[in-house]
Amino acid sequence: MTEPILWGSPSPWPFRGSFLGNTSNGRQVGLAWAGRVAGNAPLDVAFRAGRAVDDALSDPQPTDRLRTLAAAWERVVAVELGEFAGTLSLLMTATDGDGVSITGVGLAAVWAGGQGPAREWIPPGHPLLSAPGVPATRPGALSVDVAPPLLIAVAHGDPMPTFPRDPDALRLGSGVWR
Amino acid sequence: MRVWLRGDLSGVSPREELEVLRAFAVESAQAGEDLTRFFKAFAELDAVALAELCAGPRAVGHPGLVRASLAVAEQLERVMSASGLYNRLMILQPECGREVLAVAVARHPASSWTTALSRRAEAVPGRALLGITRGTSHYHSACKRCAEAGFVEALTETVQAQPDLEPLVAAVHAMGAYPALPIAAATVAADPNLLVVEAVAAIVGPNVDAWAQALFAQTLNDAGFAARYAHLLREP
Repeated sequence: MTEPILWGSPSPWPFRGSFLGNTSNGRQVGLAWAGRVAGNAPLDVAFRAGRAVDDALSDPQPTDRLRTLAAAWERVVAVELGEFAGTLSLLMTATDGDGVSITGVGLAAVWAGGQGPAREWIPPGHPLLSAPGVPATRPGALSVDVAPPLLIAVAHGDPMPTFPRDPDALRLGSGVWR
Repeated sequence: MRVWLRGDLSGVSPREELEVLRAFAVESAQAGEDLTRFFKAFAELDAVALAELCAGPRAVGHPGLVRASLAVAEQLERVMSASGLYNRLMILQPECGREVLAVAVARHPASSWTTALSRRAEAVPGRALLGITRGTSHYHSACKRCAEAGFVEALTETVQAQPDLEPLVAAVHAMGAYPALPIAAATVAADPNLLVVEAVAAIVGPNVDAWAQALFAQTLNDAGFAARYAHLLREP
């Protein structure tokens, strides 16, 4: 499964409003996501907003890759985010035996990692890179046969970081910890 | 020479008579005399010579001398480095360690070397640094330095005296979420309304569920705290 992560914001609270998870429908399709919402809201408001999106995505998904992403978007759009709807950044991947489909919103960059140094994977201007916010229409998905093990997104509005080479450091800088 | 104790050093040439002055200071200290006025007058006359007497290679480690040195710390700091001065005084007389530390922290609350001094002087390292800076603008950096030094016990204590997220935030940034658990539990005990779980999630990452369960296990006396998160957290 391709693991999406979102690089932390350059602030004392790098993961305020962040959410991160995955689910699978049996062995057929795996859905994984990383995102942030209400990143400048008070801590409790941001935490609840992130959890709300996370909960919506954690519901069981359909068995087809693209339909999985479409259903995921429907659930995200249905989350009551109020004044924070315009702050959503999200990267999602749906993986099955045939490949990976990738979609997102509010992303400034998507890099590939997990095999050597991180490298830019999505070129500037690609439709996967867009302004933040719950999308009015469902974003498209990029489908590939093979994707890197790690996709590192940078949220729209965040400065471009210098990524560490080590995948564990990449994950740590993206709020993946145990 | 009794007049010296009253601060009258007229006619004295400190550098030429340093050994006489040293002998006088030691004898007076051993006799239990207060050397403060003597040292103040000495500092006005020649602070370099006084620094030699108080903290030089041949300085004598008597509590009376160290305490009198602390009374003229400002003057001594003008002729030697502050960290060098307090380190030397602490080495000369470990018995006065806490007094030395208190003056050092009061005069240099934002200096990084005070944590090393604290480690040597205190049973609970960081206690004086946090106690003296609590309620001041230096508290934030004191928490940070104590966290970087691993002073968990002092950070746990200070949050009980002043319930806020500052010590926990500093600890999580410096040492990670699990090592900071005792401070988190103390924070909840001090004020269960503080946003402990949310703050940790915002610092280390969103999946705090297992960590929060570990925290709840340490805060069993506050069922309301865990209940507040019941619908927000998942079973790890």
